[in-house]
Amino acid sequence: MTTAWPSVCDREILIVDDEADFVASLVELLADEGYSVRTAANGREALEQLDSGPPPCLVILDLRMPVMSGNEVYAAMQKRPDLASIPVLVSSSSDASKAPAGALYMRKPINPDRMLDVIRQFC
Amino acid sequence: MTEKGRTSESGKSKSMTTRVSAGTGDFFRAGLSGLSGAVWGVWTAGFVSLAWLVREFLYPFLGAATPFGLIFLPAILGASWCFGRNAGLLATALSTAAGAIFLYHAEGWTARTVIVLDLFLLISLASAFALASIRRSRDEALKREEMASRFAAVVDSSEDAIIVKDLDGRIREWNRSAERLFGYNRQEVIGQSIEILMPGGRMDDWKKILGRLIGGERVEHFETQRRTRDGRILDVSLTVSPVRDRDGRIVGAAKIVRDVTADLEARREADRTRELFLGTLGHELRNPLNAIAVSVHTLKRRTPEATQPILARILGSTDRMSRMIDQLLDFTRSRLGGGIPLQPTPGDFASICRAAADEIEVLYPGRIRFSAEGDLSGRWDADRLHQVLANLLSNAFLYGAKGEPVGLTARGDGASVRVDVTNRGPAIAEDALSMIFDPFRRGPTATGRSGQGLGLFIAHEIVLAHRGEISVRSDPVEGTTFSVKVPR
Repeated sequence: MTTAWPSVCDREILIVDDEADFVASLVELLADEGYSVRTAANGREALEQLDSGPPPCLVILDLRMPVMSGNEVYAAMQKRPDLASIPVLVSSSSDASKAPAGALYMRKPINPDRMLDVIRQFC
Repeated sequence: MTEKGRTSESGKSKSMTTRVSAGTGDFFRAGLSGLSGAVWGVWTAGFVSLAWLVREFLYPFLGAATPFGLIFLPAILGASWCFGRNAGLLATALSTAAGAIFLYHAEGWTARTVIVLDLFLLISLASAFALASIRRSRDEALKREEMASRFAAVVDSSEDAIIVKDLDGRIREWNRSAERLFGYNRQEVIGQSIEILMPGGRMDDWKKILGRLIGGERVEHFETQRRTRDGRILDVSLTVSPVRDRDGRIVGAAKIVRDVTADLEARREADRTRELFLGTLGHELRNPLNAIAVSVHTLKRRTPEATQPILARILGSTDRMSRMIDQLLDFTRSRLGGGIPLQPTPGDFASICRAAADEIEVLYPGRIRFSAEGDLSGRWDADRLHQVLANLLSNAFLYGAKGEPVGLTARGDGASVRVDVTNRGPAIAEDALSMIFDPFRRGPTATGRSGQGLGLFIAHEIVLAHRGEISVRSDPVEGTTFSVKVPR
């Protein structure tokens, strides 16, 4: 059973990626910018995170992950009215064609300045 | 062809072939075929001589009543049947002469003698012509039958399915491989519509193919799908030829059907393996680089001014490594047969040129002379063409004359757009020009510079993927110009 949280947490970002070093470096970068960050190492953990607190202002999503892929997470989010409106920034080493339509896309290795510009539009 | 083929199952074909070589007169035909006129003339004279001997043998018993016509006519008929019309004429001439001698000796020249000889001549000529004509027709019919039998045997033993249909799409021929491939017996399928083989959505396939044939087009290795009796969908390759009547009118189509389901599945599997390999390779190579880039970026914000150049160097190397990984992956994909994947969108080539120029001008400020003329709109993968132009511009500065400007000219030209990148400086050697788009080739002045010699190879592959052309010309006076031409 999902909980309908009252409002979007406007400075919190969920990073979903199985690459621990990248996640750690991104947490540092975003923390310096004043964001609070939650992390998930695969798609299933991401959906659990989304169910366990107020919706983040943005989800940064990898595509190739164990257990549950980024595309599956995105599809599951679109089926849930409470999650469908959360902006998703796909950050992947795969081509843009592999990213789900409707999500923002940024190819790895990312340009941190460009990523921060995108994040500022939503958070 | 189809009528003959229809009556000749493999067993029948063999018996027909045997019959052809066992007919009466074929002994002579077989033994004497190819003989010159002189030789069949001797044989014909021999026939007539034999008749003469028979007449000489009977004369003592029958006297003047010996029927010379009945004796010589078989010789004429035999010569006509065995050696043709000319032999028949020769036998007629010889027999008539012999008859004239016999009659003269028996009766002298009388009106009856002349009438008998005239009658004999007429009957002999008519018989010779008729028999030679019958023989020729029979020979031709047997030859056609033999050809048809051989053809039917070839069709039947073919490993590929062969189907003949008429202009209404009715099946007229169906070989054993077609039976095996589609699961329908010959008896049940002849006369049926070819549409029984068409999967849903492809019902009009055969009409389109027939239309192309009637329009004079060849249809070879046409890849499509067909449905078997048990509902399976096969990937097939068709080669279709027109079937014409004696007047040259197209009356149907013969098609060779090859099942390429396994080939296509193998190709798809190879594609999947290639994409999996490249995806994994890209993922594994880019991820650590990603962590380095983001960490250094954070570090740059936190550390004092003195360490900034060191961090900038790490970031620069990271960028270069990232570009090299992209190039190696593009190269590997091309060499594995995947080509460069494109994501074309409508756009303006001038903006692609400006973006590439802006990127390179960061390093060479104010040195690109850009001009554009004509309609530059089209549908391309802007990121990939940006990559091509950035590579050409970067090379122009690296290998061109120091301090000289580089020209970037875009021109809309009918159905295509052409872009020239020109630099002054030493000409590229003739032998280097011929393999400049080969992988791992680097110019002689590039010693000590970074890169793998893949830039122009990938530029070439990107332009090819757009169905365009890339070329280069170089001389000491005009400088070096790389030209890219891509259809809109």
